[in-house]
Amino acid sequence: MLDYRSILTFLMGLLISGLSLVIFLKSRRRAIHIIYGIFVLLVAIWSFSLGFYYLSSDLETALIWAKFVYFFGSLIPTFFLLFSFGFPDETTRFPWGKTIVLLIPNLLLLYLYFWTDLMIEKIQFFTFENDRIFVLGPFYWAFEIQFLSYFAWTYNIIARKWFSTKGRLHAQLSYILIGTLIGTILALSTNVVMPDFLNNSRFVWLGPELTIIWVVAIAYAIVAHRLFDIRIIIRRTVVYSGLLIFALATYSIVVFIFAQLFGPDGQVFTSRSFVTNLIAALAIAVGFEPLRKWLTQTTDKFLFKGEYDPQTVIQQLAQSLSSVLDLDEALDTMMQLTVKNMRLAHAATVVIRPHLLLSAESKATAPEYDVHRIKQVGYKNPSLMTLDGNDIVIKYFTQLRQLVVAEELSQAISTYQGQSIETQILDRLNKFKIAVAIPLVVKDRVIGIVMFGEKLSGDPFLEQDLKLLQIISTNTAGAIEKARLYEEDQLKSEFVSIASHELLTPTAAIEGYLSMILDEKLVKVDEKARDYLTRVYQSARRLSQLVKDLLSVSRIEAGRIVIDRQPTQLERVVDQVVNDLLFLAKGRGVTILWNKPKKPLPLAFIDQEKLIQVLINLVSNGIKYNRAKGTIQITTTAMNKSIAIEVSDTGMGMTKEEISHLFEKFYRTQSATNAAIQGTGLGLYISKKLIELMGGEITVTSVVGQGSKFTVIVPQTKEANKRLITGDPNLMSPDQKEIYGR
Amino acid sequence: MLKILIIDDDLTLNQMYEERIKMEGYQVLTAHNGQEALEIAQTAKPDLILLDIMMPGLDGFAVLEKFRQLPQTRKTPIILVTALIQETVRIKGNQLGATDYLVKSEITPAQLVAKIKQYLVLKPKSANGTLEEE
Repeated sequence: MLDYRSILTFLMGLLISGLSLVIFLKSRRRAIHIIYGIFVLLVAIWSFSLGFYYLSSDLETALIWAKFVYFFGSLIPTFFLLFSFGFPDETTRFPWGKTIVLLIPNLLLLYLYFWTDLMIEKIQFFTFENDRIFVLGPFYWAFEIQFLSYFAWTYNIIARKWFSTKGRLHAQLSYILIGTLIGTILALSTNVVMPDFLNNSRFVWLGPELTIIWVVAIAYAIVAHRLFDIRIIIRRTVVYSGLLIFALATYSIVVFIFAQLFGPDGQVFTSRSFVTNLIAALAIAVGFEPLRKWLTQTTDKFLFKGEYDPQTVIQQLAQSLSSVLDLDEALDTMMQLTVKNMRLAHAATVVIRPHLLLSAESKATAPEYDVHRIKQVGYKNPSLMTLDGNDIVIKYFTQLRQLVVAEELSQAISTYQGQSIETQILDRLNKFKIAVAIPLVVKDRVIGIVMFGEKLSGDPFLEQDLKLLQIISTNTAGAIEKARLYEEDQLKSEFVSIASHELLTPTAAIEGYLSMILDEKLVKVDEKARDYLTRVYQSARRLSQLVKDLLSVSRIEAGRIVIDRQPTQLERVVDQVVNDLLFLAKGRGVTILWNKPKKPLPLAFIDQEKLIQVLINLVSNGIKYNRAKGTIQITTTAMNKSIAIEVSDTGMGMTKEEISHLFEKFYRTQSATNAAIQGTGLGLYISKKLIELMGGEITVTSVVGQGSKFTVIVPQTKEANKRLITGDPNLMSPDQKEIYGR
Repeated sequence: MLKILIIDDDLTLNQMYEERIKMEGYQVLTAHNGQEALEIAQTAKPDLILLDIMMPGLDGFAVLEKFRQLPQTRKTPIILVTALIQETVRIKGNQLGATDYLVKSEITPAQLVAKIKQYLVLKPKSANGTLEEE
């Protein structure tokens, strides 16, 4: 019979089929989506079957449809179980094995349903409500067991997964778990528990409607890109339901009282009026909040014309300040923004720096701060504002550290016959036409004062205005500090570079001329003079080495080193290093043993110049810290993706403790210092950094009294890098191009 | 006698190199800025050029580019000698056609001479068909 039950169940069936199609189309390849699609489709078919059952006019067809309902109903937990096994795996392999095994009970039930009467005997009329009921057969329990046990198993699996996961997966499982629990428990109660145990089949048609919660929750969990916090959804549902119930209850009570007092019949609870009440209550509950918002906004527009939105101002300010590193620009931006949005007359900012005491000054009389910068926006006559470190305003605010409103100050003065300092400050503020002054504080230091003129409208500054100004000033303080640090950093790098170069030129001249003087082939020198000049030369070399090392360290730390990696034949690099240091080695009586490999090494991918620098450092260390007539061994080994270069010496060796500090700046071992060997303590620090920048590493092992072994590991040239040999820009990667400036 | 042209505005090291190179028996020509350098190079046709990068007016790179365009200096070995230790400088020099690159503060006069000799030996046959060697 075409009644509300059949209509509803058909409708549900349609909706659910639609959902199934959407999910399936989203990702046909993933097994989990396919399983879910089948699961949802089964729910839809079940719903349709139920619809047909209600629709059928005779008992025979009703029986057949009933059997279908049960059969498809029993397939639902099977596929949901499969889903719970698989979630959240992304594989495309369909779990045929598991499916077949799990389907066996279903097939058994199929047989029992359709070829026997053991499950459902028949349908008969239940004349009390002009309805029909099932008469269940003796094997009905088979259905209940399959159904409930599969569900129990599924709950178990999902619950366990939920307990053991975190983050997004946990959130997804929350949706699945809650949706499943609510949906299945409700649906089970109307469709299994009530009919089977309480003999009440009247609400079976509710089944599909309740399962929609279940189905949708899972769909959302697996499809949504970013999930809502499920707690928000629960809260919203509770809030709205609560509101609804409240509205309904209030309305009903009021109507009831009215009826009792004034009405003759008390007949107020007809189903029609109930429904209208319901709709009205729903409309109020849902529409109240948006309506309130809209009304507030509209009246605000009329009453508070020209008001600014603090959120917007802060957001704009934060955005513009974040990309500005220049002090002047930062101050300008901030002041323009504030003056424009809050409609002020003008603004000014004073940036102060701690005063550096000059030798001629005495600490007692010198000011604590210097004015570094004054920036003004909107002033017709900017030169009126002159401040220096001695100004009372500076002194006042560096101690007060609080916002000052000129009007309040003047009131305080007149009320309490304020002290002279407040009067002086007020005079200054009035001179500069300042209405609000806020000190800028960073980490407990005052770095400036930002001052704002009055509002163009003449209105006073309200609490919310001052709050906003305070936030603006905090942000500005941060931006100023950032600009200052950046400036300092730039200057420092430049300073060190320039200073180093200025130092290196004369030292190069000294070394150069000395080397020429000491070259017997070129210049004739007296014995004594030669002796002294040799010592001068050694000191000059030491000085220039130190300056070069300091420059290297400064550049490394500023990130200014550019590594130019090329496929390189390491044998040639070692050849050059050995060649360069032969003289030094001979002078100390140390022999360098270069175990050149017979088979050529694979090409290393390194910056040749830097590697030479590193190897010279290691080998010269090996020479310097060696014993008389000692040796240095250099070996190279090709490994899987890298090449190892080992430099071992027969020197004094190091303890584990010393090794742990070895690569630190300025570190020298005790024995090295004791042996009065010249060294800056920077060589290994620089070497380690350079090798690391090339994608390699340095390690060291040592035995005290026997010697040390330094191992440098560098990467090999991969296929991709071999193309660098041609230098063809079309073959270069973007960062290679950057280095080559193409 | 082979001619070496040194282009540098800083006299300190310039003079030192000049001294040393003369001791080897080469003739030394000097220029203190890019303009002078181009004029001398075109008239005197040096066998090797030592070029400083940091100079007022026309900087070393611009001079290098010009040298590589002029027929008289297109194939001349040009060694960039500079105080700058920056890799980008070396790479750029390479791009513009410099033969080699030396850092003033790192090279001794002896090493400079060795490098010069190395590039002079590699010099191709001169216009009159004889291979000019040291």
